[in-house]
Amino acid sequence: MSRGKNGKPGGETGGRFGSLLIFAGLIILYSLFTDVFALFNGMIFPGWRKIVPDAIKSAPLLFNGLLNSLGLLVPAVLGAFLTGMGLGVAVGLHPRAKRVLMPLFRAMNPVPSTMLIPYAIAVLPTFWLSSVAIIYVGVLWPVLMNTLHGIAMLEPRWIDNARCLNLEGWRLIRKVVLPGAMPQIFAGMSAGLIRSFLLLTVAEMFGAKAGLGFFVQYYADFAEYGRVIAGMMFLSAVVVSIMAVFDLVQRRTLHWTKKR
Amino acid sequence: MNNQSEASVSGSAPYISLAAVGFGYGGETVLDGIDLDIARGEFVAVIGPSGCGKSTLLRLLAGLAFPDTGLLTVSGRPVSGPGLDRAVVFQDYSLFPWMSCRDNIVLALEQAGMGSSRGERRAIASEYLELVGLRTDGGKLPGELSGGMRQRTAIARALAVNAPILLMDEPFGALDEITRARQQDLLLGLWQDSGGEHGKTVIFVTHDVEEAVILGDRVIVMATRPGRVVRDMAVGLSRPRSRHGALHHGNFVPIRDELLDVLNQVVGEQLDPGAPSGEGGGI
Repeated sequence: MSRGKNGKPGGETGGRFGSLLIFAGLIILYSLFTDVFALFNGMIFPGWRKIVPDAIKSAPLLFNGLLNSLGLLVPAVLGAFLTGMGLGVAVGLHPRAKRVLMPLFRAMNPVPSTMLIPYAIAVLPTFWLSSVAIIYVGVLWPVLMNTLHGIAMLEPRWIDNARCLNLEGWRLIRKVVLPGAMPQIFAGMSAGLIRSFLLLTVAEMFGAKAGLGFFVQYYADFAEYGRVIAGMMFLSAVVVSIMAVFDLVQRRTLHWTKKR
Repeated sequence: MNNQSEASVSGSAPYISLAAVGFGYGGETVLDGIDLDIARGEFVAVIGPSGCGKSTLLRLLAGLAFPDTGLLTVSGRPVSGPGLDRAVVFQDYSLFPWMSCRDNIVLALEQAGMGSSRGERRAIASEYLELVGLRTDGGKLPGELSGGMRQRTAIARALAVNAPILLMDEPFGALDEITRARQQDLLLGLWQDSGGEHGKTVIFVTHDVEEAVILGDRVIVMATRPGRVVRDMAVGLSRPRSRHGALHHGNFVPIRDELLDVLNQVVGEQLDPGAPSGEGGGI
């Protein structure tokens, strides 16, 4: 995201127009390589002539897959956002707890949550819960670590100011600690959200009977690459939409950072 | 939360009292043997070279830090922490950048338990914003205002909570000359309107000698290493005062020059600590 001092709306739309142009260029280029000159292996790289009908045929399945994927993603991501922030604030505001827990966090943070899959399946009662748990753990770490970092980076003068106003407890957290740490927390949530899309497809590899990642893998097994590409494009459209909503919320929440 | 109670303040006891106050940080003595009595309604300016601990002194008064030695009392009670009886205006960061100016004031009013509803608190905030000439800017974020306007908002907040003591840490230090002059006049006017010597007690830290003389009833000069009081000088200029009136008062130049002499001596010692102190008599 651009952090221009005075974000000109003209520049923004100009940027979008450029993106669309490149996007359209890529579609045409792909068409030239496949539909027109057939330079690629038509089986693995089918042309639009095959992809578009496949996409239309798959629409109900894709929509159903979307609902199933969101059923995993939404509870896992929201849960990780909330608990990551909560745990981060609780630990970040208590120096002693932080000293004790930080080495533990540093050790556990880099472990890919996909390595926990066998344990999740073994320990948790349902596949759905295991999938949610894998995504949850993957998102939790960046949110937690960034919340801790954000609190550590809070400007001492804000804290002085809050103390002069006798702000304490929950009000101190709500009025000063969270807003002050929010830029960093959003950085963590953004990283977590991107990670959640990767983990979603992994989590749908086991147990899932529907879902966008499942859809792509399922048809790849049958070498139905028209559907595979349709599924991948739909998946990226969903990811782009979710990120757009996230960016909007982030901009609204952090509008003050551009005016300091 | 207001610590002051009218009954406990007898006429003779000092309102704010520092007795042999010392403060150290990281093995270095920042303040040493500070003795200072401040009466209710006094406007005290504190000047000194950077590093003399004048900001630290203000932090002790604010209750953000505590003396290592000696005793610091307000209304006869040792300061046990920050309180809404002492409103603090810092150099350029008294406001939370994520709240509008009005919301910053509303938050302070909430903390002070003033106003019965949110609407009423907003009305009080608007009233004080108008007082400092920012009637139409209440909805703006601090970052959207100039430095001078931010400081006016901070002063509006300090006045809105009606704290009997104002602690100001170089509030106009980051402002340009002209803006600073206007803020000084505004502060003088507001302080006099709020009761002058019968109203709020102000402790105003600055590095600007003229500012100290224009505003203060009394100027405290501090020296470095360790931070200590080397001069406590009454400013005999009449009240009510304006910046212009003070600058053109016959006593202004002699007072200013005397203070500059003291400061020069202090800074000279700081630059050349090994020099024999025989000449000029030292302090």
